Amino acid sequence: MIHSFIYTLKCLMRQKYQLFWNLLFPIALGTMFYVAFSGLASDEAFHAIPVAVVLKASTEDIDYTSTIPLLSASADENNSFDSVISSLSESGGEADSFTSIIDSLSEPGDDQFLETTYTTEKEALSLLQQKEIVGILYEGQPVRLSISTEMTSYKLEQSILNAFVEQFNMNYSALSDIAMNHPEKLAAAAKALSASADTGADYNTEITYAKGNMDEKLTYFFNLIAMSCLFAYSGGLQVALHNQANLSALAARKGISPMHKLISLLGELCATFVFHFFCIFVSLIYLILVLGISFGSEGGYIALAALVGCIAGVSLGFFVGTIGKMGEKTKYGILMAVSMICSFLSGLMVGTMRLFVEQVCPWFNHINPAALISDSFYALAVYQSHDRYFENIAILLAISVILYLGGFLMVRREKYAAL
Amino acid sequence: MSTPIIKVENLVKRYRELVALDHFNLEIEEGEIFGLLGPNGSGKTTTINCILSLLSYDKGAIEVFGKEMHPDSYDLKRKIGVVMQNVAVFEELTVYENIGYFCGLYIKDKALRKQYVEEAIDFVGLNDFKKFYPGKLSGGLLRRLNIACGIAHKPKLIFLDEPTVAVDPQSRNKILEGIQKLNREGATIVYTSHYMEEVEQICTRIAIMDKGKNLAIGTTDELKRMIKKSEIILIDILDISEEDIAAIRTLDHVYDVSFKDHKLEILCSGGKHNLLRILHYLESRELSFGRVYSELPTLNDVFLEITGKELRD
Ligand SMILES: Nc1ncnc2c1ncn2[C@@H]1O[C@H](COP(=O)(O)OP(=O)(O)O)[C@@H](O)[C@H]1O
Ligand SMILES: [Mg+2]
Repeated sequence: MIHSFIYTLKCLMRQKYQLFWNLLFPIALGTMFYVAFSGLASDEAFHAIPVAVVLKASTEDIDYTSTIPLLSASADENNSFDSVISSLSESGGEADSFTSIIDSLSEPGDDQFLETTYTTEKEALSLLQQKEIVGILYEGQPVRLSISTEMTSYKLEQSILNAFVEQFNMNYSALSDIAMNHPEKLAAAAKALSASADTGADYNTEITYAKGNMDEKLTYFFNLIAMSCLFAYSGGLQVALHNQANLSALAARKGISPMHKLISLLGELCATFVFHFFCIFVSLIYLILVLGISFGSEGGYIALAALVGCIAGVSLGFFVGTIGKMGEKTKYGILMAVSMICSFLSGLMVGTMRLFVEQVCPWFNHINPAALISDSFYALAVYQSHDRYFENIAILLAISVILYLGGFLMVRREKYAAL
Repeated sequence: MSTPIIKVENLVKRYRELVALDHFNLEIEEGEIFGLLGPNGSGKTTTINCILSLLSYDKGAIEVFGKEMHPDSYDLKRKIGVVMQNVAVFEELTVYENIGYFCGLYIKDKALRKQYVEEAIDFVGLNDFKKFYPGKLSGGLLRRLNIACGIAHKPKLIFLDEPTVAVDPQSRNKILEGIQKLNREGATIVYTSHYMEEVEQICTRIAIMDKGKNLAIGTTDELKRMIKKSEIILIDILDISEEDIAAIRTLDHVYDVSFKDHKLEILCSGGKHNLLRILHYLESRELSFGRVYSELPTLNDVFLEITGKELRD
């Protein structure tokens, strides 16, 4: 068994296509996802948004006959914070906290959020007309935002600003409190505000803050690892082909040796697990350490999910490999299609796919190995309890056991009608 | 007589409608180099795979080393080495590792295995290619690797299924010499081929098979004696009359005469001094002739006479 194990591992490590699909491909795809997502979000975040700030003191009579079509955005006037805020405004700390927040967000640096010009309203409107700025922030209760409908190419910046103003107004009291009592923490608070404005504007989704930040983007990476796990089918397929005399010359050659079939089979399967688990492990390490994708903090459980995922992937290949006399290429094709479909339905390419499946035929998400694997990661990252995680793992193991048993029944045969 | 090392009785094997082996019988004694000679598709590979218990068969009995052979006859399999018709090696393993892997299926002891692998590499002359991957080997070298994988564990009984197909003459000679060496070292060899020259060259006994039947069995000489033709005399001659041809046909031991392209072909069966007798006749008729050849029959002639068709493809 150790003999088979060692040589199988050697073979796997030298197969270029195995290394490509199981190691390079997930890493490359992960990097692509990473670049694509950061292209959406951080590009704009890193470029500070030019705004004009009009303080109360410099507010003149507003000339609404201005030629620029303006949209004014402001938080709900009947905001529950109103009373608190109005009391704050009496204290005169209001102006201080507003400007200090704006100032801290305008500090030059990598994460500069705003590029602020303090000016009069008139001046601000003309800047807006010349498209020098994206919006005008009016100090006030609540803070108001004016943007120009003509600046269509700045939609994203506009919506980020809008979200920022909403967040600002909603959290006004807390911010004022920080500004007055813990000014040293203001920068961090402001940063959090701008960051959430960023994501809020980008995705318009409700974000689950059950346990740490759960970002929609993360599920893409979970699905990616799930797909890599399924790719372990290639190893399982090889084990099947190498042990059925009517499928390959190598299997026939082994069949006439005194090595017990089940023993060599076990050795080869173990080597295949180890190889694929190693590949997934490296991919995970890359995603977590190099790209900084957060898979949560429970390393052991993450590794277990990856291992079970590999076992399931290998079982899929092994089972399909053992049935029928189709050629290697045909079986490879079938498995490729199956794994891609599973990955697609679990949301690898289109993030909302899983929700769609959940509505159309919910049972499928409970037997789709790709969905089960990625949901295990999701459950780890989001839920406090491990119930859902273990449920997924259990189903995966059950599916694997069934596939292995089926495969064993097929390869157990030792005499063939034809080779 | 000792029990034969292989005994096949009334073996019938069908692939659906096609009868690949039709009441096939075979007995091979220890120490032989036994040749299974037959054209492509005659059932040589099928016979071997049945003996090895890889294929199921419809009827008959097979004994190896005096015991019935089953897929789980591991004690028997341990003593058998097989060089399959299709090269079966791992593309991802080097020459050395491939032999090591297959040898390891039989030999557990690591030191002994290492020694055997080295000896096998030496035996097939792949010393300069130890670190090569099979993809980088030429056809002949690949075949030699395939052989090394089959015999590294020093089996007592070795099957070689067409080991010289598509092999350059140099490799072929090396392989044939090697087989004889293995035999001298005590292994019994079962060798299949559709090249009669090879079989004639190395085999101690030969079975001629066609369409799943064992047509004749014996040593080369025995087989040749089985057929009528024992000598073929060819004479270059410009012209000869029908009467003279008829007269030659009546000579002792001559059973057929033909004349074509200025070549007189005379088939003789048995007897001695056939050539002399014919030359005397030609001289007495004052016929002038050119070169004269006398040939002994080949296995091809044997095959031709038994089946009515040529063995060559
Ligand atoms: N797997 C198979 N399925 C159907 N027919 C086969 C199969 N293998 C061999 N045959 C047929 O059985 C006959 C004997 O084949 P084989 O034993 O390979 O001949 P040989 O080894 O002498 O060339 C041939 O007619 C061949 O077509
Ligand atoms: Mg053959």
